[in-house]
Amino acid sequence: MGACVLEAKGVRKSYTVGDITAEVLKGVDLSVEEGEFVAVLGESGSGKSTLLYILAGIDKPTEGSVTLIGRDLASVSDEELAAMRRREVSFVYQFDNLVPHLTAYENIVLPLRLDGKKEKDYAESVAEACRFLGIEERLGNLPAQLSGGEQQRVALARALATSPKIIFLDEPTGSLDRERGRQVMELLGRINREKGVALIMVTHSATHAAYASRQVEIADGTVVR
Amino acid sequence: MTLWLALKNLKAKPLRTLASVLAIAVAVAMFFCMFSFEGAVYEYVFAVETADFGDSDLMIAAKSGGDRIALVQPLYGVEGVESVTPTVSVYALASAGEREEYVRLRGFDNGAVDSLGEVRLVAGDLSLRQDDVIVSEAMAEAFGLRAGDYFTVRGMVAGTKPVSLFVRGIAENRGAFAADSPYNVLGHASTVGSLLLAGGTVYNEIFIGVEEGADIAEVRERVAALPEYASLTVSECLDGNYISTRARNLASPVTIAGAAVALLSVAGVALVFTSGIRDRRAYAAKLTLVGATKKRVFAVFCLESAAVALVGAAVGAALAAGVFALMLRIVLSSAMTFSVNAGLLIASLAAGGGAAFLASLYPLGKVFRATARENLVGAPERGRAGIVLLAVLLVVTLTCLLVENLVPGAKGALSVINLLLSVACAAAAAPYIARFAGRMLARTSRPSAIAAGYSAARERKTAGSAQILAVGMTVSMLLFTAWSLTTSIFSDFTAEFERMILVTNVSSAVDTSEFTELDGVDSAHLMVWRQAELSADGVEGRSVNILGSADALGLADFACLTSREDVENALAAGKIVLDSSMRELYGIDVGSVVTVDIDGAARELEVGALVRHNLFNGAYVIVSEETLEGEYGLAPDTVVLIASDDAAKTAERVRSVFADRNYYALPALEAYEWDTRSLENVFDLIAALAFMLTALAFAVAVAGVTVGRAYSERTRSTLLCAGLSKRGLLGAELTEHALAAASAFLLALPVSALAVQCLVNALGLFGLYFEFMYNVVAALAAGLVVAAAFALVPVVFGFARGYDMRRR
Repeated sequence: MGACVLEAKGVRKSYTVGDITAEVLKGVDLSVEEGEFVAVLGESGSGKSTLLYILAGIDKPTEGSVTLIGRDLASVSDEELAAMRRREVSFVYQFDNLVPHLTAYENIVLPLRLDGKKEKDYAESVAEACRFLGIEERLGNLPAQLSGGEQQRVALARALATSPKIIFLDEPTGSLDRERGRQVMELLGRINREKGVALIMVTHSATHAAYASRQVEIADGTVVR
Repeated sequence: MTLWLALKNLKAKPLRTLASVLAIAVAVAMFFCMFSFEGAVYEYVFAVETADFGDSDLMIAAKSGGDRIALVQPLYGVEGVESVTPTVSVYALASAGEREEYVRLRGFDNGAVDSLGEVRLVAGDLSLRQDDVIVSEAMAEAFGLRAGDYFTVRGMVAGTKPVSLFVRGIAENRGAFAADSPYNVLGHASTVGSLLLAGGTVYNEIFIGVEEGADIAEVRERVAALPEYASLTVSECLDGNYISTRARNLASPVTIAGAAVALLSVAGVALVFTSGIRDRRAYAAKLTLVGATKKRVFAVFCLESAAVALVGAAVGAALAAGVFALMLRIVLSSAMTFSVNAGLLIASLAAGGGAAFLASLYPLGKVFRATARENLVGAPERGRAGIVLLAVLLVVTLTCLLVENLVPGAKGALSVINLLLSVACAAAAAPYIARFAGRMLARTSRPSAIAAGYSAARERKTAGSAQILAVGMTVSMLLFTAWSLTTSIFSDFTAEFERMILVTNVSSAVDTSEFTELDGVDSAHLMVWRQAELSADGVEGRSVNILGSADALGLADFACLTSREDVENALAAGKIVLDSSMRELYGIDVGSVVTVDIDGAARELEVGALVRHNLFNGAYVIVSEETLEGEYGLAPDTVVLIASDDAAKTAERVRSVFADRNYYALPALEAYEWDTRSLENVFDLIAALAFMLTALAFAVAVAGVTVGRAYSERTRSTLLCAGLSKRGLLGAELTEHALAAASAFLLALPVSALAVQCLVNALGLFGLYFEFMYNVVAALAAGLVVAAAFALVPVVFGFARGYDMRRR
């Protein structure tokens, strides 16, 4: 077993709308090791996406702690969290991942450029990621000129371009048809196996969850399996 | 990288960028006009007012046409006198070809024709010989004259033949010719004097330059004490207060209207950026998720706004001089050159660009208050900042309005604040009214109304449109009301004075029955009609017109606040009568004692009664001839005639009958032509600004809709998929627009009435007072036109062409 890249303890999350307080997560414990592929399964409204956002540091828990790549997210500054996203952590969501007025290539290299890297430093790794995902012909296109599957592959290329230790995926095949969904899942499997990147994927599809090395099921805000 | 992202964003949103650049450009240009206008008008009024005497400090003039000044020599021995320029001024009928017109001939000593004012020639030269004259470009054009031509003037001395004058030169309408109504003709004193008195050089106006450092008032007293000038008027040439007042009166309405346009432009920038807030939130979330810090995201937005502000400011700077020149041209109706003041331009760039930059950042609060996830999914704000802001604004506004109207002396600056607060309240309340109306609409059974209702109740788009329309309509209604009221007051004024003729240069011993015997003259009133300064506690040197006769009460529509008898009794008792606005503005009431300074002689006089006249704005003092004679030794110098029909023809008859007395008879409206034309032009400019502002508000609202509409494409697809027909969808969009327009209209109507009240009170800052008047018809018309136009935008802009069930 590898080192632990993610550890969540007693994560609770509640929302208050008017006089009503809804508890979405009711004390979730979860840990993910280096190179592991974890699928978080659950029905709509079970709290799986909320959990993913909290694990990735995009949202904050009401209670509990999250340790991502050795750092407690509660004590990490905005600057440090941003630096982690540029170098160690990536995120891919269901659709609309890309900045619409940047080309596919510009979207892919966005985190690298934000990190101050020069093109010569990343040209090779980006080209390899694009070859790996089969999008090298579409790099000059705007997102609106790409199919849904191609957009997801561009998003994956962007996630891979920074050579992260962990990628969070929120229903990455949710907006795709079955065939394109299968292709993306196979790609994710390859990424996990060949690149050794830990993946945490939220899905409601048991078929897609089967590509993962471990499945965690959430129901009514708690881990049931 | 940050700059690259900012520029990419700008390029990706060309419509938003263009709308913002234009709005900022308009704001900068308007700020420049506001900052520069009063100064430019002051310079112009100064040039016009000083055209006759240039740098001279004192003037000796005849008290009537019967007096002649012949002696200049005694002045050279007076301490403090540096220069003496004697002139003779005569009114005569000039003829050239078909054209015949009353002109003013001014005679100078040899070689001194340009000693009082610059004469900038466009043709000919200044080497005047006997019977040579210089005329203005305007006169040359009107009479069809060129250098080297001759024209005739009819002699004033009975029995003399017309004199033929040679046009030696034609000069620009500036310097000595800045005040060229009636046309000025400059020539030799001997030539001009001969038209007045056969044989010998005479002078009737002597201008004196005072040595630097000498006290002008003391020199004036020394000159007035000379026995040679005991029967003449010795007065200071320049009345700074009068010039400032005239400039301010002309500039203040334009400044206020310009400020409204500038502020609306800035508000428009905020709205354009607010309309795209959903896009900005998603963009911020995406950048955050790939590792951009909040600082970096903020820097991208700041750079984007700064770039827009810079380009807008540059376009505005280029437009500023042109817009300014146009405004001056409209108001002053005269070719006036001006130099762009770099300091004012930089201040305008800073004010317009800076305000627009900050306005564009205003919507970002929402971006940075939400988490990345909330921004990503466009979650609505949970806070109640909007309703809290509205509640605070309402409380503050009501409190300030109560203080303004109940606490004595609180009007003025507080009225300006209340005007802004009222408009801010309308802006803050509009979204809630639109949302409430949307919720009501959603309860109906018609599908398009339900769709429109939900959208209005929950989407930012309708609320934003209602907000900008509420501000635009309020200011538009305010300006159109102001325009219609001022135009109506002006029409009343011209109707009131269209039969009045002013005959000046008359002797105080003139028999008025000589005038009433003439055909077409109903009545004749001998009186003093001249400038003076009024001072009291809290009033410093306010420029006023002395209407020196009890008869003045019958000359215009003065409304007596007490009985007419009381007012006449007050005048008979040696008291003065003032306008009731003096009470409103300065607390001067019946029984107050004020100081009235006429030609340097200051006397304390008691206010005996108050009357009311709308257009004069309190700038008059009615006083009896006896009081003026007793207190100032002033004899009447003007006869006011009331013509029974055409004032111009009657004035012509007066000039003809009294041709040997050098009377200057002009219809009152012609005598004050520059003032009336300028006022008329100011009102036209207010109208132009009202139209411009209305168009701007409408354009900003439409730009906001177009930008915001791009983000509701998914909703439209969903509605079509859910079974709403394209016709129904168009109906929904039409209803949504109508709802925004109606919400804004309902708010704007009462708020604009409140704003008019605040504006009326705020005018006190400029020494102006009007009673509250609100033109409902003008306000309704302005509001309904904007509302109807906005409601029809979906049809006019062909929104239905873009209806598609595919989601792009």
